[in-house]
Amino acid sequence: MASAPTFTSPELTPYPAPLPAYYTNWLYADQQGNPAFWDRPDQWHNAGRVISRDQTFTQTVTLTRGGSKKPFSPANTTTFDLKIGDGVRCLVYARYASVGSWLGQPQPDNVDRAPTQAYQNVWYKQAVDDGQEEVEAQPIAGCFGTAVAPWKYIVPFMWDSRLHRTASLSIPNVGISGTVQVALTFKIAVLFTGR
Amino acid sequence: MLIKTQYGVVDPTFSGQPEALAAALTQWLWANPKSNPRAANPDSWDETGFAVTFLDRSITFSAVPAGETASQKLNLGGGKNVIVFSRVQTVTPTTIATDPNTIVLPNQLPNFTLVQQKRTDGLEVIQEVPLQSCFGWGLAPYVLPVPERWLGNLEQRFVVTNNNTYPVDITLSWHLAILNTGR
Repeated sequence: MASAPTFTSPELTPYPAPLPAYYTNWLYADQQGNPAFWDRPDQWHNAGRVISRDQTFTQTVTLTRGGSKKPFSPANTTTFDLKIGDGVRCLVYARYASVGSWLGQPQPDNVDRAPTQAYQNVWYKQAVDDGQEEVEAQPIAGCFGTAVAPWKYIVPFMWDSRLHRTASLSIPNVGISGTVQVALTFKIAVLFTGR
Repeated sequence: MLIKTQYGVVDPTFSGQPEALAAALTQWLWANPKSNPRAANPDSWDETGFAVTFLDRSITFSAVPAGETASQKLNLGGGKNVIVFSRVQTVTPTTIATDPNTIVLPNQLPNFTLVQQKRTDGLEVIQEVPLQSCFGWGLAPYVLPVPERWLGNLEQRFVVTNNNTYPVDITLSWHLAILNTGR
């Protein structure tokens, strides 16, 4: 285990102490994310720097007219691996969503439609494979924002990418058939080492 | 990596709060025997590997008929102490007959949906009020002015009333901190 860090990432200093040191340790002492210096805090200033990324998961969800009105029944659900950080530790700041065209609708796409108008028709849940439900089933209107008003964590969430997580999207209760693209975006910070 | 302060130890997660409050929040989770098997031994907390984590917990009232009331009991932490930071709601028509794009905006129906929150010891935490006035949504969650400490073994009863003219599904959700011990 790495010893206490002497280096604090400048990108993480906006937070009150001791969070900058805590977060620096989270990212720099990760063997996957910092393979050269993870156990050498005295070298962390040479290890790279913390950058932010917008990581997006775009999924297609099926709508079935006359289908189940319950969210997360098999016919109206898309489940995917939520690989935020791509295997290295990261910090998650915020999450926002965009619901794409409702194919099959009679009028042209994107006419007279507010960005958030379809938000409450799309349900989301997120769980770790150990059984921990991190986000219990709810419409994305409740747990995702948009770029102008992101849904933010109270403090950046220390995301352990070694844990396998799955997320599910579901669209029940609709009166048309078709597919919808839903883009879920997570604003994250990762250690960039150039590898 | 708990920090010692004049008020007691502070978990770094809460270091954005004033020190006394941060210590109180830390105690609430770490000194709770239902959450932490080493609750009585603060000197060993740093060795446990336990960490405060965040969850979004929710309950859904499905197909509440127009003009009707429904209720559910809720124990947010499943017996463990938790700290609630914010709450959000969504209200959707149970049946959508046409194109979803033409349906209401996310903050349109909560205006006609009442909510009441009552502890099982009788205290009325939220007097009956439209959801619009006491729950936010994803773009603007209702962030509590001071994080609320919810006692693990105290249930809360939520009563909702649908004053819309058609059945609705109502979801209430809370963003909360809990001590993750991996159990």
